[in-house]
Amino acid sequence: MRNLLFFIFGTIVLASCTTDGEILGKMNDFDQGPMLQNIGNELILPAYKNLSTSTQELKNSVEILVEAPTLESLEQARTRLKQARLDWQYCSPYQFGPAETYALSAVLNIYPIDVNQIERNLSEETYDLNTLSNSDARGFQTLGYFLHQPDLTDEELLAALTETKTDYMLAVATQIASTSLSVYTAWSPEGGNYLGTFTSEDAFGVNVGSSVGKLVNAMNQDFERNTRDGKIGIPAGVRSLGEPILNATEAYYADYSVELFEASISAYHQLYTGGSDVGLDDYLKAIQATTTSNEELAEKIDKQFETIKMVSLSDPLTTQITNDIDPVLEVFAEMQRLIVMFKTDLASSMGVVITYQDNDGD
Amino acid sequence: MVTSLNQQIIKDRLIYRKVTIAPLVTFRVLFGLLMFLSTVRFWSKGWIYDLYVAPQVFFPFIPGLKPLSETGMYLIFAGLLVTSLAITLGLAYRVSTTLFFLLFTYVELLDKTNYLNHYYFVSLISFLMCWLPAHRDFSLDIKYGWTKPLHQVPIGLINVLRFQMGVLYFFAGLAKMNSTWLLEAQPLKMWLSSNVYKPLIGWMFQYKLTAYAFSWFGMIYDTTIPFFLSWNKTRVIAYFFVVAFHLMTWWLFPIGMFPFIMIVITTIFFRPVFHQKILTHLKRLLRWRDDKSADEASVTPALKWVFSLFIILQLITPLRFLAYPGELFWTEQGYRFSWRVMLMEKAGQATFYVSDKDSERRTMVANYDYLTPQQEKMMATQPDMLVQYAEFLEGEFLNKGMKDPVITADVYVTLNGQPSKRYIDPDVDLTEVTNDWSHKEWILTNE
Repeated sequence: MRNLLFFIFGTIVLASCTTDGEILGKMNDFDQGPMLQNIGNELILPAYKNLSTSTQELKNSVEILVEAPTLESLEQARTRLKQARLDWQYCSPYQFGPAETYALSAVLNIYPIDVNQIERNLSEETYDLNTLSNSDARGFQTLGYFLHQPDLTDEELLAALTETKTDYMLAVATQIASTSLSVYTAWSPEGGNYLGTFTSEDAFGVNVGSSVGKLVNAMNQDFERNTRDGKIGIPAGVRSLGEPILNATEAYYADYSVELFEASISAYHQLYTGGSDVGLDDYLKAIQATTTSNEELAEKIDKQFETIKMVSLSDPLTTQITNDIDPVLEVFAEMQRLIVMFKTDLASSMGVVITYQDNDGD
Repeated sequence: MVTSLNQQIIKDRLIYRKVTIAPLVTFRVLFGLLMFLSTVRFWSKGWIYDLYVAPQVFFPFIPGLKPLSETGMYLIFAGLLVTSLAITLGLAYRVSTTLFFLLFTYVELLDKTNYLNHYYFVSLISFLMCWLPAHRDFSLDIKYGWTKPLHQVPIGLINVLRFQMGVLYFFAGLAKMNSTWLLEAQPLKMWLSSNVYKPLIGWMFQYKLTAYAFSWFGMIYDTTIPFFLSWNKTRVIAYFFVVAFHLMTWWLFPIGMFPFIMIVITTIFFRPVFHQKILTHLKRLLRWRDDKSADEASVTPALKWVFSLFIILQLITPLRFLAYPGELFWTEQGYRFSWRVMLMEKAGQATFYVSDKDSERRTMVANYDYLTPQQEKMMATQPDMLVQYAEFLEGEFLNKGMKDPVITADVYVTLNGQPSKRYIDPDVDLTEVTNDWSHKEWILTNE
C-alpha cells in the first residue's frame, strides 16, 4: 500500500513537471480581505452616504420649491436632482444586500416613466407610491418630468405647479430620500452594519452567499441591463429593429443623459480598479497563476474601459441619437465586448457561482 | 467443456446463486427515505416555483414536453413525497416505484438547465426498482397479504444495482483521464483555490500540489472503487474511502444531496449476510413476524431481457461521444448521461440577433427578458440549447408580425480558465439548422 502511494505521488510530480514548472508552489497569494475592506469602506459605504445626503438635499429643495415657487428655487431643485442622479450612478453596481431588500433601484431610477399613470394619480389625488401599479410613476425621472418641461418657459412651468402636483413631487422626493437613507443605514457600521457582513471572513470565497459572488453577479446584471441597455442600447433602438426609442432615455426630460452614462462607466471602472487600492483587477492578476489564460485578462479589461471612455458622445443624448447615431452604436458594441469579459473570463476564472441550485460542475 | 463449466460457474456466481433478499429490502427502505428527504429539501428551498413555475421558457429533452400548471407541478412533487414514502414502507410497491420513476423522470426531462448526473442516476435506479422484488419482505404489501414473501433471491437482482453504481464510478473515473485534469489539475486549481478561507484545512488549498493530489486521487478513486468495494478483503477500507471522499466533496462544492445518496446506497456492495443482520434487528424493533410460507424467486425471461438491454445501453451511452468529431468538452456532443461529474469550468455569453429575411434591420434580444440567470448561463455553452432558444425566439417574433425571422448569435465561451473564444458560426441562421443527434457543423473549434 505504501509503495503504491509513493508510486502515485511520484507519478504526479513527474507528470506535472512538464506543464507546470512550480508544482510545489502556491496557486496565488491573493487575500480577499483587503479587497473587500477597500471596496466596502472606500467605495460602497461612501457612495450610499453621498446618495443619502444628496437625496435628502433634493427633498429639502423640493420642499422649498413647494413653499416658495421662484425661478431660484426651481433652479436649485433641478441642481439637486442632477446631483442625486450622479451620486446614484456610484451605487448602481451594488444592488445586493440592503439595496435589494429595499428595492432601491426600482424606487429611484425607473425609466421610461408612465406619464399616463402619473396624470391619473394627479387627477384622483389618492395614490400609494409603493404599489406595483405605481412602480413606473415615481423616482428621479418623475421629478424630472415635473421640473423640466421643454415646451414651457420656466415662468409658465412655475405657474402650472398646482398643489396636487407639488404634493406628488414631495411624496416622490420623500420616498427617494427615505429609501436611500434606509439603505445607507443598513450598510453603516452604526446602523445595520451590513459592511461588517460584507467584509467578514464568513463571506470570503466565491460560493453562493460570498461577498465576491454577490458583487460580481450584481455588477454583471446591472451593467448589462442598466448601463448597456437602459442608458444606451434601448434608446438607440438595438432592441427595436434599429428604431430609436428616445423617451426611453435616462433623464429624458433633462439634458444630461450622457453625463450620467459617463458617471456610470467611471463608477464601474472604479469598482474594477478598486480606486486607489486593491480591486478586482488585482484579484485577476493574482489568480493568473491559477487559470491557464496567457493573456493578461486584468489589463485587457482595463483597456476595454479606456476604449469605452474614448468614444465621445454629447448631451443631449436624444439629439446625438437622432443626428449622429454611429458613436452611440459604437459605445454599445464596446460595452458588449466588456460584458463578454465580465460574464465569461472574469466570472469563470474567479469561479463565481450564479445560482442557489445544486450543481455538479456543468 | 472446461470453458462451458467455467461459464456456468460465473453465471451462477453473478446471476443465479440464491442469497437472502435482505440487501434489496434495506436498499428499498434507504432509497425511499433518501428520495423523501431530497424532495422535502427541494420543496423547502422553493425550487419547484423557481425552476418549474417561474421560467417562461424551458429546454426540454423531448420536443414539446412542457411543465404542468403551478398546482400541477406541486401535485407532482406531492406525488414524489407520497410514492417515496410508499417505497420505504413497501406499500403498493409496484405502483409506487413505477409512479415515482415516471414522475421523477418527467420532471428531469422538462429542462436541460437543471440536468444533473445525480438526477439521471435516480431515474435509472428507480427504473431498476420497478423490476426488483424489493417489497417481498418486511413490507406493508406482505403484512396486508397482497403478495407472498420471498426469503431468497437470485444474486443477479442485487448485482444489477451494484453494476449501476459501478458504471457511475468507473465512467466518472475514465472521464477524468485527460491532460487538462491530470497534467494541469484544472479545473480543480480554480475551484479549490477559492476554498482557502474554509476553516481548519483551508490552508491546504493554496498549494498547487493539493489540486494535483485531488485530481489524481479523484481519478484513481472513481475508476477503482467499484472493484475494491466488490472484493471482500478491501471492502471495509474502500467504504471508508467512499465516506471520506463524498463528505469532502460535499464540504467543498455546492452539490446538494448527491454525496449522501452515494454514501448511503453504496452499502448495496456489503455482503448479503450483513444486510440480513440489519434487517433482523429492524424486524425485532418493529415486532415483525415472519411468514413461514414463501415463494421461490427466479430470473424470468422478461427480467433477463430488460436487464440485458439496460446493461448494454449503460455501457454504450457514455461512449457515444466517440462518434462525434471535435473536442468533447467544447462541443458537448455526447456529454450528458455519461457520468461526467465535476469535470470542467465553463461559462459563456450569448447574444442573439433577429432580423426579417431580406431586411437590413436587426434587433438584439434581451435574454434576461425571457430566461433565468441559470438558464442563460447553461444555454450559452450548450449548442442544442442555443438552437432551442432560437426556436423559442422564432415563435416570439412570428407573433410580433415578422414573416421569416433569421436568428443568429454571437457566442463566446471560456473553458477551464482559457481566454474566451467565439463558439459558433455567427452567420448561421439557427432557425434553419437541425437539432438532432447528428454532428453540428456550425460549432467552431477550440483553437
